[in-house]
This record gives sequence, C-alpha cells and structure tokens, in this order.
Amino acid sequence: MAGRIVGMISVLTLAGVIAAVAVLVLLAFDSEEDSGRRTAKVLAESVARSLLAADLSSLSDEEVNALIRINAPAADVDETDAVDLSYIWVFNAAGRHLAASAGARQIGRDEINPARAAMTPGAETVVESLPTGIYAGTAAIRAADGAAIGAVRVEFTSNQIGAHFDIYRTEYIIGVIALLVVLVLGSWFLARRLARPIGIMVQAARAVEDGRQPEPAIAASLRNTSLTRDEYGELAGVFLDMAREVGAREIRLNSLVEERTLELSEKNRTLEDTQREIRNDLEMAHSVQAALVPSDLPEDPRAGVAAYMTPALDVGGDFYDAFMTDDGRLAFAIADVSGKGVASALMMAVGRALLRSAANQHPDPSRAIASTNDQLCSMNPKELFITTFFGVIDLELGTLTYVNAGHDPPYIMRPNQAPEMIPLTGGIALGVLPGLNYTETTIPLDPDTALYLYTDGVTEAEDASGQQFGRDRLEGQLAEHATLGPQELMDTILADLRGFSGDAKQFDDITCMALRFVGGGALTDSYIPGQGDRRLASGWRRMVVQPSLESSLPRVTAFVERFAGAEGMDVGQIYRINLALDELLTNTLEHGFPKRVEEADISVAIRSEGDRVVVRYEDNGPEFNPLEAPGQDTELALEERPIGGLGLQLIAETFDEVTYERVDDRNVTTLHQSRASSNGEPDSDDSAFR
Amino acid sequence: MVDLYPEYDDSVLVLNPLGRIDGTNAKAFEEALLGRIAAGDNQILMNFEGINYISSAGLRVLLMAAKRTEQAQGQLALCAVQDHIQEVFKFSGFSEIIPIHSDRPAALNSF
Repeated sequence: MAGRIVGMISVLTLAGVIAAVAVLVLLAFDSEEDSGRRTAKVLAESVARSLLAADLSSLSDEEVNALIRINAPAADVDETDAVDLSYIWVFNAAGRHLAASAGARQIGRDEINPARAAMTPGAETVVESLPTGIYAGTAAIRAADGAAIGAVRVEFTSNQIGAHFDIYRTEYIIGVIALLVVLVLGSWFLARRLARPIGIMVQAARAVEDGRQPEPAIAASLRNTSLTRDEYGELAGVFLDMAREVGAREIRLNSLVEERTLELSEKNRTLEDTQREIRNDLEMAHSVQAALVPSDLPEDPRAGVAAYMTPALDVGGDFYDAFMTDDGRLAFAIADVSGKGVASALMMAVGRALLRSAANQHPDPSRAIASTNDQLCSMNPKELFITTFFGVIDLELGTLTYVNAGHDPPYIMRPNQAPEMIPLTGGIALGVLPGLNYTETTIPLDPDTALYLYTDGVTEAEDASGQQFGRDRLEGQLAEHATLGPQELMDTILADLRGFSGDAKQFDDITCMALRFVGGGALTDSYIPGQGDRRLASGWRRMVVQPSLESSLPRVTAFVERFAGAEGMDVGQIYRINLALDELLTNTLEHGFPKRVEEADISVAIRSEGDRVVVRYEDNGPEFNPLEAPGQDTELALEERPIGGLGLQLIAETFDEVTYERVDDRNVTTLHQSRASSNGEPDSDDSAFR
Repeated sequence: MVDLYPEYDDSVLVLNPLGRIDGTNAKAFEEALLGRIAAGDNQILMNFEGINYISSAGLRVLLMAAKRTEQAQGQLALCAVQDHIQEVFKFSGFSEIIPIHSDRPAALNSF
C-alpha cells in the first residue's frame, strides 16, 4: 500500500521532472532568430523607457552613446565591442531623426517606417530581423497618457545575441534544476509522510498476524500516529483497537487450545496406558502359552522326543504335549485349535490340561480322547474345535496306540522304509459334538522307528511367491533324514522350512514334534540269547523299575495287565503275577538297598513260552535267594501267627515253578506258571518249596 | 487316606474298602482299621466285594486286626471275597484263622 502511494507520488514527480526537462530542451533548441527578436524588443523598450524623461529635442549623440552603455545587456562585454556592434537612433514624434549613437548610418525609409508604425496608438514594438544578420527593435517612447512622444531604434548583430542568450539560459537552467530538486525532495518527503504510518501499520499487522506483540518502536509510532487528527490517525486508532481485540481473542484461543491439548494428552496417556496393558496382557498370555507347552519333554532311554512351536500372532492356538503316563507309557499329542488369539490360546490351555488328565485317567487313548471331547464341548462358548492326534507308546511292548481326531496324519518312518502317513482312525475334531465314541488303532513299533507330527502351519507355510511348503517337500525331507535323532530331524526340517519361507510372512502357528522309538528291551544278553531284535525274537517284554514302590507298583501292574490283556490271561493269573512282583519288589526295596537305593537297578521281564508264562525279576542287590527266606507256618492258629514274613512265601505257593540264580552280581528270580492251572487248588505238597 | 466306607448293621461295623490293598497304602489302611478297633469297635465285617488286589502287606493288616478284635472278645470276618483273592487266603492259611463268608447276610448271621 505504502509502496503504491510512494509509486504514485513518484510518478507525479517524474511528470514534473519531465516537464522541467522539456522546458530545458525547449530553451536549448530555442532559435537564434527568436532570441534575437526577443532581445531586440526588450532592448528597444528598455531604451525607450530610459529616454522618457529626456528632452528628445536636445539629445546629443554623446548622450545616445551613453544610453548604449547603460542599456547594453552585456555590461561586462568589452566596451569597444558594444560600441561597434550596437546602434541607437532616436526619432521625434513626427518620425524625424533626432540623434544617433556614434557611427550610426544615415537613416532612410527602412528606419523611419518602423518608427512611425511603433508610434501609432496602441502599437507594439516593431522587431525586425535584417538579412545582414542584424536584429532591430523599434519602440515608441510613450508619455504617461500613452501618447507617443518619440521612438527609439536599436540594432545589434547576431554575435551579441549569444552572450545575452547564454546569460538568460544559465539562469533558466539553474532555476529549473532548483525547481527539480525542490520537487523531488518535496515529493519524497510527502511520500514518506504518507507512507510511513501505513508501513508501521503493515509491520504491526504482520506482528499481530504472527501472533506476537509489535516491537516497542513500532507500537510507539503507531500510538503517535493514532493521536493525529487525519485519516491515518483514525486508521491507526481503529487498528490499535482491532489489534487489542485480536490479542484478547488470541489469548482466549490459546487458553482454549491449551485446555484441549491438556485433555488430549490425558486421553493419549489413558490410551497409551490401555495399550500397554493390552500389550502386557498379550505378553503374559504369550508367556502363559509358552509355559503351557512343556519345555521339559520326557527323557527315556527307550524313546526320544523333540518338539517345537512358534505362534504366528502373539498368542496362537497350537499345542503339543509329551509326558509319561502314571503307568509308565509315553503319551504325546499335537493339536491345532481353530482360530487365533487369546480365545484359541485359552482353549488350547484347557484342551491340553484336559487331555493330560484324561490320559492318566483312561489307559485307552480312545476313552481319554472321548472324555476330553465331552468336557471341551461342555465349556466351548466360542464353538472352537481342536484337531488332535493323540498317541501312547507302550515302551515295554513296542506298540503305538493312537486316535486321530481330525488332524493331519503324522508320518511314520520305519527302519529302511519310506515315510508313510499313519492311517486315520476316522475321528472328528474335539469340541464339535459331545458323546462321540472315538476309535483307536494299535500298530507295532519296531526299534528305530521315527514319528513326525506337525500342524498345517508347516505344510501351508508360504514362500515369497505364495507357494506352499507342501507335503511332498516334507516327505522328501523326512525320507532323506529319517535316521537322524528326533531333535536333529526336527531342526533339519525347520531349517529347510525357514529357507523355503525366507522373509515371507508366517500366517499360522508352526508346530511339530519328532519321536524316535529306540527299542523296548535293554535286556542283557546273559538272559536273553539271540541276535537282532532281541525283544521280538525272544518275545520278552521288559521294563525297568524305579526304586520306589509308590511310583513303580502302578507301572508294573499296568505293564503286566497290558501283557496279560494281549495274551488273554484271566484275572487270577494276572493277580498272581502282580502279587509275586509286588512281594519281590517290596522285599528288594526293604532289604536290598538299605543305604543307597538310588543305585538299584531293577527290571521285570515277561513272556509266553508255550502254555506257560515266564516272569523274570532281577535286581543288583546283595545276593539273596527268596526261596530260602524264612516262611511262616501257615497252619498256626491265629494267636500264634507272627505278623509278617508272609510275602515271599506266597510266591512259592502260587507259582508252578520258582527258580533263583545269581548271575553277574544280580539276583534273578524266574517264575513259571502254567496257563491251565489258573484255578489250581492250593496244594502244599506240590508247592515249589517248603 | 483310605476310605473304608463304614456303616453299622446292628452292633456290627461293616467296612466296604475299594480297590487295592498293597504296600503303597497298607499303612493308611492299618491306621484306619486299627483306629476303629481302638475306638471300641470289635465286631467288624470286612466286605471285600470291592477289593481286587491284596498283597502280603494287606494280609498283615488283616492279621493284626483279627488279633486285636479277638483280644477284645470280638471278631473280624470277611465276606464276598473275589475268587482270586480267596485263593491267596487259602494259600496263606488265612482262611483258617479269619472267617470268610460267601455274602454279607451269611456273615452278619455269624456275629
């Protein structure tokens, strides 16, 4: 705005300057003739005025010469030049010549006619430009009443004009320049005066716009301006009011913004806290889930287990489990809960706990699974389901009994054979329908048989191009590495899987388990002759017994019952064998290792020999022949019977044949029982020892 | 602890143990049974219908109980013993010193 005003004033100034310059230019180009004529007029009239008072009739030539000096415009010009170059003639009212300057020529018509013309009433001074380069001016000498009393004629050469003219021109130029300076200064001052308050207001407005107070100098100027009574003063006053209002509004807005910012930051904090809580919850759920898959897998010389799980989300729905049942079998499971997240993880936790407890409650996997299914169905609001493979390996018998509840069939790698899928059992996933019966299948496990279980996160893992890992590639890997131990086999396949997936996103939980059944029998050669698969060739089933009655007795009992069930033995035969082993084990633990029970190495083996069942019990305690143990007289009356000492005696009574031998620092007791003599009457005469 | 599922039929304490009596629970069985006798019960019928296993450790407890009841002018009897268990009572001679009845009414009549 101020710039525009200054510009407008500048334009006006420029116009003035241009006008002045034009005058100068006009002056510079003023023609010599015009100058001469103007000069002649001025000179003539000047001389005429000076002669007004003189008595023209008595005017002498000397006096006329003096007039020339007086009236010569160039007073400083050389006197001689002035005399030489200028002439004056004086005429009377009749036009007759009265006097002339020195050297002036005789006058004729050419001089008298202009004098008469000039003297006519109201006439102007006559100016002539003579062809000889001389300028002439003839002016009337007029009295106060305007009547011409005479005339005067001046002549000078054009040489004289330059001097006259230069003098005028210099004065003109100085005048014009002074005018220009005044004009420029004036307009600059004016422009400044007009523009300055606007400039100040512009700066103040910028300050207000930026939301800060105008600088003190600016504010002071603005206040000063507002005190003046012109339009600027009014504008400055209005501006100051407006600035105050804006400032007040700014403060209100600022406090409002602060308030809202505070609210927002509080909300943000709450949000962050909530988010942190959720994250903590998820992390806790994750660690809970990690704790729910067993980190310590069962260790047993007869079988190895390795398992792995990595969830796709923070919390997944897969699980695996492997544990020794209370009766000493190796139970294992792999499962995939439908869905993801906390609900699936909870379902997984419940499912795993139920299955583990059911596995100990029900020796048959089918019943354990059915029971787990019923309980899951009763507590499944989200209608999730769990595909499960559940198997139990009888490490003594070398069998796998399993149920597949809708899970991808695991692979079995028998020695020197290609991987095969373990046949389905036709069960549906757990949690779908209560009251279902599940079918179990039992398959023999040769020593050095490997199993590989997995969830679909393995086969459906994708590479960067979206191609799936697939069963074919998995089978190839299993075939190639079937002889590796479980941990190595699993690691190798996981490494191949990771190589396949690369940086591709993991969509599903990846869970897998590898097992290796080493062999049921660690029977020493001194007892079981033969090469190759000792267990299968000899028909022996053997178990190692832990030196604790509480933990071992149920296992021994279960071991015997499983063998007996397979052999179709009756309850009495089973009882007699269990009783014998119970008494032998109790005796060994009570007397065999009075100090260092942890050194005990006790085992039980059992097999069928024709129509007889043979049981071998051995321990590494000090030599002790149970056949020579002091027995009770079983015919004593109640009050005479001692308490105790009965156990070993019962063995002799209940078996057809009992032998004892000491081999390699081990006590070996062998019991024979005819399968036909199941309900044989007690006959002390036929008893094995007395 | 072992639960003996006790009940009274007139003055006779009828005990109905279940499952096994072996070395792992004989001590608890002994405490429960002898505790009853010490508390004054000396007419005791052990209903062995639910017992499917007994070892010498269990027999020992029965022998102790039989002696205590006899000392207290009372009696310990068994009934409904499963066949394979009864065999052991015969082998061990216990059937000669502890009355074994085929069923509960017959046993109660003998008190």
